[in-house]
Amino acid sequence: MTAVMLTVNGRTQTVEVEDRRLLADVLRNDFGCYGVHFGCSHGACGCCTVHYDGVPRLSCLAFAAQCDGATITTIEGIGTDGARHALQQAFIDQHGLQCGFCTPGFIMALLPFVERAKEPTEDQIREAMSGNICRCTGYHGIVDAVRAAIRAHAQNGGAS
Amino acid sequence: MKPAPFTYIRADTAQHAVELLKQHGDDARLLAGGQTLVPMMNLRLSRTEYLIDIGRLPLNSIEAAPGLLKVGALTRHRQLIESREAAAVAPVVPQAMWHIAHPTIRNFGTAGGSVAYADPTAEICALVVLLDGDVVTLSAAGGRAIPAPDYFISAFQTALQPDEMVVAIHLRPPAGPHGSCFLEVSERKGDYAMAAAGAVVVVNDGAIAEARIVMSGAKSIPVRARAAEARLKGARLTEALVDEIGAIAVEGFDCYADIRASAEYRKSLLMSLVSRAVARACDRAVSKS
Amino acid sequence: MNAVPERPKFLGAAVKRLEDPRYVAGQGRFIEDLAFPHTLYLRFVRSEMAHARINQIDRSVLQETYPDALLFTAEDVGDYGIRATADFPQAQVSVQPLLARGKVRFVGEAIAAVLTEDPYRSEDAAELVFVDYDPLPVLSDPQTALAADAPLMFDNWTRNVFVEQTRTGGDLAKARAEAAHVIRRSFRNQRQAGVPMECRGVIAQLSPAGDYLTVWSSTQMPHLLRTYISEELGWPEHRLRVVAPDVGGGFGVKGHVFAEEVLVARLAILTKRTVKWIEDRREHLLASIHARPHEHTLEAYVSAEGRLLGLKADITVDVGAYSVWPFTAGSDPGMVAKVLPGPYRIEGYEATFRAVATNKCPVGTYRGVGRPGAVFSLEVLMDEIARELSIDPFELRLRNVAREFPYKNVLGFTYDEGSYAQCVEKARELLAADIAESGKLKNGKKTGVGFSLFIEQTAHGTPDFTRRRSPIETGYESVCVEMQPDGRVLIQTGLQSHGQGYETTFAQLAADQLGIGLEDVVVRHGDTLGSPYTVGTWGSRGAVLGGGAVHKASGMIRKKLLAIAAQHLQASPDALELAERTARVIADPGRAIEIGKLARFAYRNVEQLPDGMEPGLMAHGFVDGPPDGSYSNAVHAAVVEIDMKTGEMRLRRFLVVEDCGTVINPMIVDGQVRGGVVQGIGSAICEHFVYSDDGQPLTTNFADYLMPTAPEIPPIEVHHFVTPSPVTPLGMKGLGEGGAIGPAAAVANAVANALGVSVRETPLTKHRIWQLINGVAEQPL
Repeated sequence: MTAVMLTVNGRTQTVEVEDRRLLADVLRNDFGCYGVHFGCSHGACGCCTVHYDGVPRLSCLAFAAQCDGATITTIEGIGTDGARHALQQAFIDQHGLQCGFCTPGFIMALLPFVERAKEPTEDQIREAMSGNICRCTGYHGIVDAVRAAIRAHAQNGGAS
Repeated sequence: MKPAPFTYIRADTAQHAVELLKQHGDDARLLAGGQTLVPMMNLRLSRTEYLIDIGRLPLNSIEAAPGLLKVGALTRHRQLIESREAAAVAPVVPQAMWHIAHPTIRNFGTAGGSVAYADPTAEICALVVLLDGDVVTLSAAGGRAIPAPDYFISAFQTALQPDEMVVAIHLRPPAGPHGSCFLEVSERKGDYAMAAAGAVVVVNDGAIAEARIVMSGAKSIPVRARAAEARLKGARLTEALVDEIGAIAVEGFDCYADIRASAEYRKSLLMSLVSRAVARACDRAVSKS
Repeated sequence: MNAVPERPKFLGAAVKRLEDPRYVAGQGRFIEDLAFPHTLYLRFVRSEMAHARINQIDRSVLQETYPDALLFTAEDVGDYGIRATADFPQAQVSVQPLLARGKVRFVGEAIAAVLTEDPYRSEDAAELVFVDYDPLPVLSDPQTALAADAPLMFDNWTRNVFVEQTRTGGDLAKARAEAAHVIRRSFRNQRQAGVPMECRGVIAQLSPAGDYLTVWSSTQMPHLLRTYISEELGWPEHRLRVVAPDVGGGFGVKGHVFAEEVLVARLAILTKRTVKWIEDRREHLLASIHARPHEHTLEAYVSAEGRLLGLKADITVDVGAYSVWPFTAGSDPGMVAKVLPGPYRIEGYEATFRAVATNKCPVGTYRGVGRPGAVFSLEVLMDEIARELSIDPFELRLRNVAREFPYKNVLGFTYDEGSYAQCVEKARELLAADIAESGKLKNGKKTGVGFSLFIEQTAHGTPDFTRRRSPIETGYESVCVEMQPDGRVLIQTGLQSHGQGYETTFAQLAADQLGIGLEDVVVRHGDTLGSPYTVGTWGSRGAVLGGGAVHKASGMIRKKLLAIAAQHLQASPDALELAERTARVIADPGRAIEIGKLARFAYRNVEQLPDGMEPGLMAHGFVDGPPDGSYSNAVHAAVVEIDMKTGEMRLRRFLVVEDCGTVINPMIVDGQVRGGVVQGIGSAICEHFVYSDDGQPLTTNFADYLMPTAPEIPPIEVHHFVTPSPVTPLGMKGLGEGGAIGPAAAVANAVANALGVSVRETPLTKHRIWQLINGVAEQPL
């Protein structure tokens, strides 16, 4: 067992966990972040993507024990009911989701891209989401959502 | 699909890590980026008593000088791909690494982890062989630099001793202007390569002064196409020579077969990829000089 | 019932989805997210052998190491199973026990269930159950299973075939006699998995008094699951509730009743604890359902002018070890035999189909069911005919399609209004530039254009199910629409929306009928408590029949509201409309009364109601589908670019010209089409579930079972025709599966066009394309 201090969506808490417990399970069950989803448990689908010290990371491929002191953002930490992130709104506007299971993973994986990319090509957008699998949308609406979010981001002078 | 139990230990220093390796022997494994190890553990294909976390050790520096690129073992793939210094001295490095998996994996996978695992199609392993690299290691008995030909033994098998840890890889690109190209065929972008070829070429006055070619998929480890390299030395590149080079490169190889590709297909791919990589590397070399 | 409401506001509008806000915020609640105290977590011990007798299940090490663990085998659980019988003469019956009894028949079949209070621990414990097997010869493929000396899958069987039947129609002998050409080809599609992004999961919980059972399952058919559990376990159905929470994709995979679901319910009863099982991805790939492993031989009798006079087909599907419930092992091959005539005016037809048992995961209904395979064979055959007769492939379709409706096809199915020819012509127009470039070698690459035309029977009614003789006897969907005392509306349906957007489309339909806003309607779906009986979400029927039921039930409430308003406004109901949350006189909109007030009368001030009118504003709507369903149609087209040295293929373009009748929400329609198309592209190029010759699965994770990711897919262009159906509510037609039906044929035809070779099997991996370029026959890898 290991004591792990995590700051998750702004809230810092220390949890005592079995060494092998996956970060994704701790985020879900100890921090209530059920928006972190298990799609494959071997790093191939992207459903479990969170931000680890600001960087997208597959939370099924990390043990909570190795994350002591980390700052973690999950989908629950993105936007609020009243003020969604431009990317979340773009997913709604561009029909970038259907069943919603892969959606948090896509959003977390794409946020840095949306905030940094300047007029990316279609290929670059698709490459940015190449680690996330969606079975419902055929990716078309997600690509549209990324473009829309980048436009919105640029219009807001770089703030989302 | 949850991993089997283990005891987690965070190594404070590289020395600490290798002492733990020595102490626990086969019962211990190192955790670097975890992008390959943790999936195996979740699938219970890999188990360990002690998991030694080296992920926070300060081994992620990149030192780039013409002809020598030193990459710390914990350098994340993304860090290396985005390094302008590295690209300036060895453009083949980002060219190859772009094929690794997908962006989120590249955020955390490490150069040392890839080299230690020695997947036959790993791009970093191909680079070590292509650029006459050394794998720099540390154990309780001290450090050593293992040259590529001695390092890679077979698929997933290296010269690393059980108590030995990779701390850096040293790559030796050509010191002067050169052109390079790395091409890969996989079923989807980012999948394990069915075949890959990398070439670096130095051209002086229209003639090839130096050529280095590596192939993944010919054997269980990356191999240099020595005969092709010899054929290119001093030559002027013609269309006929481009075609010939691919054939020379795969001469005598029985590539392996799996559910993705037959041996004949792999061989055919390598022929095409070597030819194309050499041609493009030459074009780039010429435009630089 | 069929009329479009006057001045609809929301019908046909690309309204943003009401369910989206929770999903983009991670606030959906899927089966794994539901947590209860004192839960026992179930981990299965699954067979490692494809075909074997079980000699012994050794629990001694488990008991010693994990004394808290509970272990259940078939003996402990009782003689329950999945019984999916097709009511055909000579159909053979399989029963899949909840846990293997004496024998295992595929790798991954559940042998034992281990329960502890932590899922990690249950997985540890399950590893300590040791099974001793006596291997049996493996039925690795249909050829082996049909061999004279093959061991029988079940003791009471005479051969390894679940069902074999022949369907005929018209006059095949005449067609053969009149034909100028006989063109015979064989086709093959590979085994695949449907792979929703969310795996399966089940939770079962007895009430404290032990008299009420609640089962949560990631299912597409909550009522059918409830009925099955009730009948199989003998648990009274009125004391059983099944809830489908948010479901992360179904695609038909979750449109079955699985042994695991019934077992979890049984274990909750036995242990009197809450029992939870969450499937992992390896289990899902091994042991949920597989799909699409077809071998067809088609013989076409063609006139000199390219008229397809007759068609004879032999259809074999490798359906695995057990018949699935409710659609049975016969569903894929039977579907092919049923739909093969397609949109063409064929006059003679004979199709023999068989479902062959093998030691593999059972094959079930995955988006499109047998239609992708049928369309693959027929549409590739059409291109082969075109080549052989030197007729343009578009022209060949146009010479053969049905154009006058209703059209009764060679099997006696009636096609309602469609736009088959128009879709072909439109596609040809959109592809003109690509066609001009196709087949030419440029920079070492060749491009090719290929397409497929198909129709899809949707919204099947009860007669269709009765004909199929499967355990589903009925084809209606139903909803309950209830206006609340404040004028807002609750819709409850046993349909389960897992991507289709019913929370939005049903609200659109209700809002149009009732003159209220979308935000005034909430749709609760997937819960048998409170929703009327419905067979579930599958078969491209939810919008048509469920939506139709919403339209119908809302219409009943509308009528009542207008009657109440008429009394208060001193006008005739015909002179009134419902709009902007009021009932008002059309000619004098100032004379109005709020719907909220009318609702209050109906519930709280019933003395205000017209004489004799009962209180309440609640209506139950049933819609059964038309006897032959309703036919949507589409053309799918692919433009491919092939590297002639490496076999790498890039999809330059993929386009769809489709007609699904009246559209509720075009954004949702396009989404369904595109999602289906990419699954179809996966079928065409990379998805392949592989077994070794001894029945060992080789593709048990996402590194080996490959699905398309975004870089492999181009933008999917979608063009529409709208031909309302005369036989469905509002003229809607189903479309949920259509996207997945056409791509394999379109891509194969494009590759054939590029390379100038015959392409008659999938997947068209890079390796296979290289083989086609180099004239290498397909070999097993």
